[in-house]
Amino acid sequence: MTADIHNTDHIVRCCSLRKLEDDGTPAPGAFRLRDNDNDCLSVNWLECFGEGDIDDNIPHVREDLRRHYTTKKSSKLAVLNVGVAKRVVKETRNVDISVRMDPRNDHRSHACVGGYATNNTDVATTLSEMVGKHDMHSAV
Amino acid sequence: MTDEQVSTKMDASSYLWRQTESRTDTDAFEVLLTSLKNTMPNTSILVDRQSLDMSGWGNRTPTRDVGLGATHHTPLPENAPDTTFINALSTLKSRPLYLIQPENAPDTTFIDAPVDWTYDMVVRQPHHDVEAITRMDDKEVIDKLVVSGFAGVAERLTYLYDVTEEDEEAIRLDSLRGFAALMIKNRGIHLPQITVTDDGLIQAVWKHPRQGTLVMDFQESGDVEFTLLYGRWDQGTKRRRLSGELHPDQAILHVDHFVRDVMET
Repeated sequence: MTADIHNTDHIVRCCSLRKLEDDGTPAPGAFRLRDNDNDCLSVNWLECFGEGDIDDNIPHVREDLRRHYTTKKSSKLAVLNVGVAKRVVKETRNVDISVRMDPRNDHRSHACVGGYATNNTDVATTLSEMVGKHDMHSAV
Repeated sequence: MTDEQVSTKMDASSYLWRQTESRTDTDAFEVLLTSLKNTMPNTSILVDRQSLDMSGWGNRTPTRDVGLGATHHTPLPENAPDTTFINALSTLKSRPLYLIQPENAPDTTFIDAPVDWTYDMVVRQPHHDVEAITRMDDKEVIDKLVVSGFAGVAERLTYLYDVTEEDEEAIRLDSLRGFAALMIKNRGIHLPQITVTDDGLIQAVWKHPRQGTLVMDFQESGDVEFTLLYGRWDQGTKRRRLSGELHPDQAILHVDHFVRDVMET
């Protein structure tokens, strides 16, 4: 199932400590697609776990991540609204990013942000700018 | 002026010439430069005629009359400075500007400032100091930053080394060296946010709340891959962009020129 995630929903990007700026928000490097990403920036779909609010669903994302990755204590989760992210990137960079469900085995909240070039800094920078301190959550 | 510019290798001095010629000291420009404060290249000094005369250099240094485009060459005095540059301030707004190019001068001397000198004067690290960084290991580079007055930067870099996990790319030494050299050579530059990319490259980020974000990735080659997105992300309009891969000194000049261009259009 690789359907688009609804614009009102949210995605979460897990950011390692060395990709966070002093204020705890992500640097552009946290959203840059790498060669081995296969055009998919791995994120987690927050509303996959129900209709609760962000704070309700963050624990589910943590659990989903914990079961599939060695999540570091120091990592942080950056939350983005799907519709806002798509609209801002379109308006400011004229790029249509996609945000799609991409469940992998039992990692059901896994999703992909794509539609922009590998090593593209423009979109990565724009996405990083949109994340405020209040959008950051502990990964564990 | 196009919305998109991609920088290519160009002669830095020609860019400097153009940017100085079209210098416009607007408030907004100065606000922008809170993110990239020192725009003067380290190899040159920008002063006005009066200051040249007051310093006693007026007839002794090769200068380029930036305002009129005339070039004058006179022999350099033995004590011409190579270790000093002046960060021109807004006091230069209405005066003709002169560009001193002291790259041929000895590097052991300094300038005596006149009593009423009105500019920031910053002692530039001798060139060989920066060159020495290319032979240092990571600890030595960080120590060099400390003794060069960048204790906070050194502390941040040490932290980044400490938090690097086993499954992450190690911080690339040549990238660290390039970043340290930029900071030491451009002492007036605003301190960036310092992070590390997936490839282990030092990534420096300057953010300004209204005027945009500049990102520099320090490549192992010594160049920087840079992207400037001009303007706010939340204004619903397309942002101008400058990007390229250049030597750090040239990248700074290109960014400065681009910003001036945007301000004028």
